[in-house]
Amino acid sequence: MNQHSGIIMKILAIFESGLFIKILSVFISGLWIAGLVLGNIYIILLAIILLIALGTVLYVHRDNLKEIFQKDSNVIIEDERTQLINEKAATMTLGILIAVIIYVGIIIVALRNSYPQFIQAGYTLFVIALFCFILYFISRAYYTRKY
Amino acid sequence: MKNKLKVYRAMCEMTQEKLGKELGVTRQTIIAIEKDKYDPSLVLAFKIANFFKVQIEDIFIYTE
Repeated sequence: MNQHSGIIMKILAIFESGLFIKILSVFISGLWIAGLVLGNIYIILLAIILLIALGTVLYVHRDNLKEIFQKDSNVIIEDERTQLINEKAATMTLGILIAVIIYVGIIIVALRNSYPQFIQAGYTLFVIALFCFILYFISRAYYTRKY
Repeated sequence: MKNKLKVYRAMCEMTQEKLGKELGVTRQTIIAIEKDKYDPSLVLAFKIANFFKVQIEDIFIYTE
């Protein structure tokens, strides 16, 4: 009985190790690319299922992800300063991206009389910008409640 | 905020790399703190003070 539980613990340890998560991430990325290249929706569906499984594992271990990924390495690659840099870069990227999407969308819609075939693309860009805004305010509300 | 991290590090004859490793931050973060380009979090400031066995205000000097 003890031998069986020991084997199960070892299997669980492999599943929860950083190496397994890294290999699975690479495999999922490969499935996305393969599905895209081959035009096969089943490969994409498999990738989505595996992504949900991986997301669940990462969510369960969200408090010690740093330890999982850095325990084998003595080199510190991320700390509070890099997190601050990431936050600032992400905010600036989002702002610029939304602005560019809206401006390009306005230009395309304004040219609807000359290029009517592109008007759908213009409205699509507006919808993407709106989606980005909504996503931003949802995540902002989440972190406002959290901190 | 000004700091005397470089002085304390020199007193202990430590490299930026080694201090970073001891504190769990990158060498670049130590460089940025020493150059007053980055103000560390309260947690990291306490870690630094504890590491050198001094008070926070011995290392970090608040300036308007």
